[in-house]
Amino acid sequence: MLSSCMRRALAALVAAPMALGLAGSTAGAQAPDGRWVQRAPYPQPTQEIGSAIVNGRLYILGAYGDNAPGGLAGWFNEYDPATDRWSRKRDIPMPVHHQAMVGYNGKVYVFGGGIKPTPTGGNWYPTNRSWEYTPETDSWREIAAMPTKRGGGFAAELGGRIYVIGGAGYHPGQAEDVSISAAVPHRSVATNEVYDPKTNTWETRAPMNVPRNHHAGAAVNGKIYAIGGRVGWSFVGSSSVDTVEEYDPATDRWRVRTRMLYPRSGMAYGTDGRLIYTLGGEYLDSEMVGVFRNFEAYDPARDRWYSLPPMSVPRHGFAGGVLGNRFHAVSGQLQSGTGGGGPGSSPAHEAFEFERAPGATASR
Amino acid sequence: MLCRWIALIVVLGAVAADAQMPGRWVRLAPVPEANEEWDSAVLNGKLYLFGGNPVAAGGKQGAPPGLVFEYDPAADRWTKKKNMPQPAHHNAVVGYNGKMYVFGGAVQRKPGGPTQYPIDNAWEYDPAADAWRALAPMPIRRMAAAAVEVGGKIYVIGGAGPWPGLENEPLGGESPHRIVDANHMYDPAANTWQPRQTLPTPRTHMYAGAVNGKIYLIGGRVGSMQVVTGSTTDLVEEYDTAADRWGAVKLRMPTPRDGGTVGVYQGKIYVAGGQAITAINNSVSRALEAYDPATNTWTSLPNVPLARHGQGGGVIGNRFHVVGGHITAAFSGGEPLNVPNHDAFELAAR
Repeated sequence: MLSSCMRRALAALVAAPMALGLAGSTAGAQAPDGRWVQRAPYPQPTQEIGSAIVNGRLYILGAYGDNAPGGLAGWFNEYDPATDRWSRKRDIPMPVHHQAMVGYNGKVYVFGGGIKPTPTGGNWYPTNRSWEYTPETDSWREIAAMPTKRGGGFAAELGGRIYVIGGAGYHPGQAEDVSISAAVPHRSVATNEVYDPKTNTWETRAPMNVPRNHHAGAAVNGKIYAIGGRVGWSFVGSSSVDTVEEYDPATDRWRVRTRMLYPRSGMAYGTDGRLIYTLGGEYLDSEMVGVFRNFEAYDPARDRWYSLPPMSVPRHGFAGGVLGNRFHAVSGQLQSGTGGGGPGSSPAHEAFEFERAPGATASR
Repeated sequence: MLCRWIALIVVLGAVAADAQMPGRWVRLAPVPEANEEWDSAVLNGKLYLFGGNPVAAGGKQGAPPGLVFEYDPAADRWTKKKNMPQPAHHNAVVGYNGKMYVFGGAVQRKPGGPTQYPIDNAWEYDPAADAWRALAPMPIRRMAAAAVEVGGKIYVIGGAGPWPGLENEPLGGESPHRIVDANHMYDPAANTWQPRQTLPTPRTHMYAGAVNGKIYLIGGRVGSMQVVTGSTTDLVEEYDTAADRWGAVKLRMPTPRDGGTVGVYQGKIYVAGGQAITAINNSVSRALEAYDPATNTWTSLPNVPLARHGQGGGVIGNRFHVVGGHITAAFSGGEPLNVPNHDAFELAAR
């Protein structure tokens, strides 16, 4: 008898060629092609990081796990694709992990995440504190906090406003003064809150149908897509989903779209403005602990998934983004379920080079 | 030598397995009408099935049949009862204190039209009189929720309902609708409803059972109310009725699935059959798995003889009954793939 994980693994093996076949036969030129190339290794290997793209450069924020001083630090690096070089930038004033990030209008925005308020205390206090980084002055500024404390969501910009969607936080009525863990009650949230950088204010919008964290997400053509991730609690022992939900800001409604090819969480993701890319991630159950290497693209216009060549270093807790004709995948953790304490932070920096330049460069 | 050792290990393994054989499947009287989407519960040693899937007629969408069947295990016999006064499907059903309680579900509003309009109605069925009585409606409309009784109160949890403002549209897979996080407590003595702490992971078509004052929600579907569009999960969440708190997430069910049968016996929750659709396959489950809340462990038991979803069932005495259903996921194949099969697993006492 095959265990569920074995069946899932076999299913994934079957899925890849099937999806490629679909892409080849019915999608024609719509499916991107290309190859993986090695780029400058990440200078400060770590995990549970976030990314944003501003002015054609990729910014990576965070330091979590074995390499981070005290288990959590505010490391911040800028990547210039023209020179294939990393530059160290000013640390964020409040070290954070599992934050939501996006680049917009020349700034990097950082929302929520998990924090460690005291050196000896827990490191997973969900926060609502939010920040803005200005590259020209290499400076950080705190902005209005999100209405809801949470970590493990994503941020996407649409029409000059930034939507921060999902994550993990507290139960209604629960005292918001504990560090969440597998032993401390908490929940995934479906929260959808929108930030207006012009007025520095927040509004609450319709929540997703699937409260989740560690999911992927991006805005394409006036809609926002929430993809995969984890339900239940914030830790990888909880269940992953393959659900794709589409949010229409005009009607403030969500609807479900075609599932991703394989349910997972902790992916790197990004968009070129036409397709949304999901890469890697993690899985853990009572029989198997693993990381993914698969690379997929979701085409919102056709509501279709394409399977692309896998990367060479399977991992989770890493960050991605599209710069020019490359999807970059940076750093991360080589094994699942290490709780930030084990070894395995990777300096890997691979990029998928598209044969044809994809659409306009867009933020993560 | 090595082979002998291996043989010995195999024999010992077989003996050990045999000593722990947790029960066996027996075949019982089939339900008189082959159908699926049975909503079921046990009351006073008898099993009741409600609902059934609408049957298409002349190329038109049929009406929910609103069937009611009673199974008497002493005689191994089924009795057809009066149809539901408001024929609905995907009802949440529970037996308590001599009565059956039927909550929500979905109805057809006009002949030949869609059958996926969720309702807020609540009904009490008195098997002795074969009579129905309307109760205070639920605070919201929903279908495919779970109903569980603890300490004389009935908790109706989750399900699928309309998107706010779209109450006059039937629920559809890709149309905006809500998977419900509402957890409402019904007091049969007072005929009143009270909201309780919301379900962390809104879901529908899940398995639910109560052990020691706690309700366990197992598996089910998230994202969308239809199996062809939603995502099947293996998630287990625990609700403490006394504290009105959802606790830590529990060990996942070995196989993700929704829309099967559940029963509780001697402090363990038994889950049989169900279905799942992913990006790459449609499947129905033949798994019988038991969750033990005391140890937070799952045990796999001998498979259900026929894999299916939409079956009814429940535990009477030491038998976990599994009745009817559909042998593919969703409704592919249509009515010919509904089965009347009635299997029961004889559970070993602790």
